[in-house]
Amino acid sequence: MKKQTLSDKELLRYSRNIVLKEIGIDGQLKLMNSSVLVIGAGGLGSPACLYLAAAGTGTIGIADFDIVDLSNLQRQIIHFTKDTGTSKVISAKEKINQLNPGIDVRTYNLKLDYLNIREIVRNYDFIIDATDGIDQKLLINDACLLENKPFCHCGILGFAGQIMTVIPHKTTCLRCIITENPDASDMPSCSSYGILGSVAGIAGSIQATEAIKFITESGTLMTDGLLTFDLKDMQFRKIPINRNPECRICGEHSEIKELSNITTELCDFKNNGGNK
Amino acid sequence: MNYNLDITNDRCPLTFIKTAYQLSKMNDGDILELLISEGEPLTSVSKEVEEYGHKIISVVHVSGSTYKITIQKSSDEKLSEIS
Repeated sequence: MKKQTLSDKELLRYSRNIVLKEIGIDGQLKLMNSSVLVIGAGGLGSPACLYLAAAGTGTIGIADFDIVDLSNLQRQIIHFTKDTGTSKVISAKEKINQLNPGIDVRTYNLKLDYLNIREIVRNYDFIIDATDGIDQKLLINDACLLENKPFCHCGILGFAGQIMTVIPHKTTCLRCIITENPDASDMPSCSSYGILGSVAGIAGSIQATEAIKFITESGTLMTDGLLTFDLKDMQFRKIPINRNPECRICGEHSEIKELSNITTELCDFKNNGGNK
Repeated sequence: MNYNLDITNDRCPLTFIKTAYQLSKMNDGDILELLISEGEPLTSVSKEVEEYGHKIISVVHVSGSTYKITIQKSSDEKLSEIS
């Protein structure tokens, strides 16, 4: 049922949101009536989930098939040492509800693939791609385009990363940029690259900010281009990229009308250590 | 209609948020009698209420550190930004 009023406790909890003219009471109610799906409960998904929960997002979905490993704790800040060996979605749900018991947390303890992703994505207002493999990212792009769901893409490695928000069929999508499925052998092996935890923290926080901006209709989204950053030298750039008329999913003669398994099996990120 | 709100136990920014929220639920011309503590709450809420286009009819000392501000709601474009 749609929430239309705020209690005194809610006014207090969200006072620093509400006092922002860009959000206000109306924006806070929009947030509390909204739903965001975070795909991946790792380095990006951890801060994204926590900030969305703190901000009062009504429903947060979390999809991940992995369990918490000791090597995750350096960057996946929603999981604690006691959680090693536990399902990531269960661990994340527990923390979110400790932070904000008012959030409806829905967990998907499975690997999203071309068979199941669309029916999950379609239940949410905004999707956060917090995965770590290009195959998963293209799958999320395609599912969101086919379901007409806005999402925020992010990829990180080392000290660097890139972020782009996609409003389907209106702004540049990932396939406008990546015109062919990359060969798995060309992709950097996640296990051979490090990732600084705080870099994932910044990127995931930006993704949560994009979700909140979309829901509250405030500010300007990071669309039609990539925000790239290299925190080693503290460089941030916004690279404008127009929609591609030849895009395979949102172009004039789009050929992708349904999902297939070609985008999902390029590399098995569960076995290469993951860099989420 | 007349409405009452006691924010003597609240601190900034909740003082302003509760006031703005109450005003957002009222109609143009309605009166809000606001009980508020002296000092920063009285000063800042009075200023913010006027900035959002409402009319302060009176400010009266009630007792101790408590004051009563009588506000007449007036619709203003700026108010919609917070409410």
